[in-house]
Amino acid sequence: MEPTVASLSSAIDATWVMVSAILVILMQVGFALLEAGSTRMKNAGHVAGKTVLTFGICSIAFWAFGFGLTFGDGNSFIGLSGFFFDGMQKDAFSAFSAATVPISILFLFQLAFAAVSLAIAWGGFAERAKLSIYFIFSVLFTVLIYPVVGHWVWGGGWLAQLGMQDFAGSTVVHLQGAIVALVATILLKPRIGKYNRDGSSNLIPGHNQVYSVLGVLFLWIGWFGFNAGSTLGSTSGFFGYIAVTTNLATAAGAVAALAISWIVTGKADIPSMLNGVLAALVAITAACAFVDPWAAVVIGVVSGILTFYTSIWFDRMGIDDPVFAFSVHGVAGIWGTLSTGLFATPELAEKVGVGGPGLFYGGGLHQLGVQALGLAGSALYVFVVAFIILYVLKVSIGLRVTEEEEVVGLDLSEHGGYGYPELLQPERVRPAASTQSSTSHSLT
Amino acid sequence: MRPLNRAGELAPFSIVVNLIHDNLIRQGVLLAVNDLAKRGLGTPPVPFAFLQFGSGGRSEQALISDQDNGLIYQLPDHLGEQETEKIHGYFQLLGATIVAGLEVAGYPPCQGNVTCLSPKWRGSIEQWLDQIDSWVSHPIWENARYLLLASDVRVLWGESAIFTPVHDRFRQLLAGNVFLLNRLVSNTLHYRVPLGIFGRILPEVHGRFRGAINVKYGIYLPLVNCVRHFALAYGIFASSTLERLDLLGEKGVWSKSFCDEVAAYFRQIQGLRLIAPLHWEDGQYTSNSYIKLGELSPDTQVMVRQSMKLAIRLQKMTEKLPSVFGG
Repeated sequence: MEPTVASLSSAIDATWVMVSAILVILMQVGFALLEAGSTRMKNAGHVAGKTVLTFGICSIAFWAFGFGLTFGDGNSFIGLSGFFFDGMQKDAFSAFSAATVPISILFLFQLAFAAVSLAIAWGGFAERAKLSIYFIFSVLFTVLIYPVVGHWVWGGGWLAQLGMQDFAGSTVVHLQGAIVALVATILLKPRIGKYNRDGSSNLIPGHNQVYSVLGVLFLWIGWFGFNAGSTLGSTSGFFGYIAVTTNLATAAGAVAALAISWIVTGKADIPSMLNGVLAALVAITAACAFVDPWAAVVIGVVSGILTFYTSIWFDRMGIDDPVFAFSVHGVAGIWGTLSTGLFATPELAEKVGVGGPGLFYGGGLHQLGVQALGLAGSALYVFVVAFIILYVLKVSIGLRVTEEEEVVGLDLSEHGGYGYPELLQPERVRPAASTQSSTSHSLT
Repeated sequence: MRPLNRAGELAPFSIVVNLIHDNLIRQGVLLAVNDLAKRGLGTPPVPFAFLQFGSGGRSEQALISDQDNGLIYQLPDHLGEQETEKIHGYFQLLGATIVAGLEVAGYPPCQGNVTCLSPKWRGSIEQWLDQIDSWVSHPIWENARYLLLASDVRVLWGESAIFTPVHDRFRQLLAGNVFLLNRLVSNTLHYRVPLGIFGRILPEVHGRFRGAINVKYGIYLPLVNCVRHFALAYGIFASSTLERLDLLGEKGVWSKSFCDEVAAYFRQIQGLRLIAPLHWEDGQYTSNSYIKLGELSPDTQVMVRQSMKLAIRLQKMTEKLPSVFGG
């Protein structure tokens, strides 16, 4: 068959979405490094390793049910077709009727998004949840939580019909994951040693800042797939614009966060800067296709500063969020989702074909209202369902390891060996000592 | 009781507190000497002196204080090896007994091991002279720190004449020694005064001391160090900060009014350090350095901010000090 212009253009689009899917899957590397670097040595192997496990579980659950529930044809609440996705059938997914890209590539791309949302949620479980919870909750999140809000906004559900602007998922991906993290960290209670008797909190620094930095850089790079790939095509060239707004916001977030920590605490704190980078990425995710470059900078700066204060505030409230998942993905997710209600330009809203201009561009309060409503609905659903699921798990099998296991570290308690065996050796009988004791036995 | 939150009211008490410390520690030395005698281990075989270093050497101890001390003794000429060993042995025992006794009295031994239990800080005049020489000829970070500690020395008990040769050697080696001065200055300038841009005081963000500032490391020590560097550079060998300031003024290194200004803030900070233990009920040594910012009266907060500004100014002056001497 001779290639036509249409088939070539579709192939170029498909290639870009495939590359984007791979970039978003690369974000798992980022999460593994960031989370492991931001927690203690005794849990490092577990924290990084569970990323692989849960990506595996999420992939299978998303193939079986998640994809159909999110994007399948159904009602305005949930999708009901396309379960056990066969890799070819496009009929069951009218949400993708306009896309020229093969449905298999769209599946991979969307799977990568669901897996990111799940990876964010784990932040709230860090350093004290049982391994079994990771197995069970990976399935339940991918089937019962993520698809519902995903369908509302992207699968033709009620928020899509209202024109909610969430280009690449500040709400769908990040806020969902963050709210689960919040519920989890509340139900799990703070880590041992986090709070003093007088209520003051201790800083539990991560064991490797270089890992955290590399993790954030991986995420930053992967995010170009996340946002610019969400065009689901490249032939229009719009993906380049989105990459620019994304990068501007992120850069601004990095600088603003480091500056605010320097001003407020007198210390140019690296973890605070990293939180600012991620917060800006999260916020610009909803807005990247709808706003001017200057607005992207503003959105990034506000995210960086906001997250700095909320992470301190939540810590003081007695909420031990080990890797600041709620501040970074939740608070910034809310801000990013609202930001299009302020900064969306009429031209870009029309180009994307979702919603209208924001408050500062003559759109009045309408778009802002839609964004707020979408946020409230999504947050409420996720909070309630996640709370029920995790509460039932807590009272039935228990969420948390025992005190002894937590103290000795999850590497040992959940996996039987340390991630840093040379540094954290369990007490072992030396060969020489054992010979001695056997000799004394024979004598007595 | 009305909360004691004004540093100014407490400033004069610092002198009283230090007189009490001095008497307690002297008593401790005396009891140790008597104890050894009672246990049949003999009396001091040769003249000796008990040395006080650090804040005690400067007569600037806070209410809760740790031990920074040493022993020096005079060996007679032409002594046999066995007899010399016997004398060293006596002072080793005495050192251990003093440190243990003072610990019982509530003075924890210094974390850096600067006590007369350590052979570095206990020895004959000759050993001390060799020690000082080796520190000066190898001014690595650790040795620079030792030299700074030793420059705050005061003979608290015993014959001060014994220490004079060491003191003279110290003076001779340090005055105008640009290379050494550089090492000493760089040893202390890492202390960060917690004052942010726009003059905001930056309290601790995390942990037990959240909302508090470390007066010792944030204000007091920067002031002490800067004044000491200027004093050493200009050959002034007084042991307390206030004496050093007086002499810096007399010698015309600094103007009299500037010396008075530094001294006035320094006195207030001394008062503030006396408040610290009242802000914490744990009686722990580290708590002794922290002040809860929120519990200070507004005028004391202003004083704290001003003294921080002064400390930063002094640090900048100190940074340039070696270049004044061509370094």
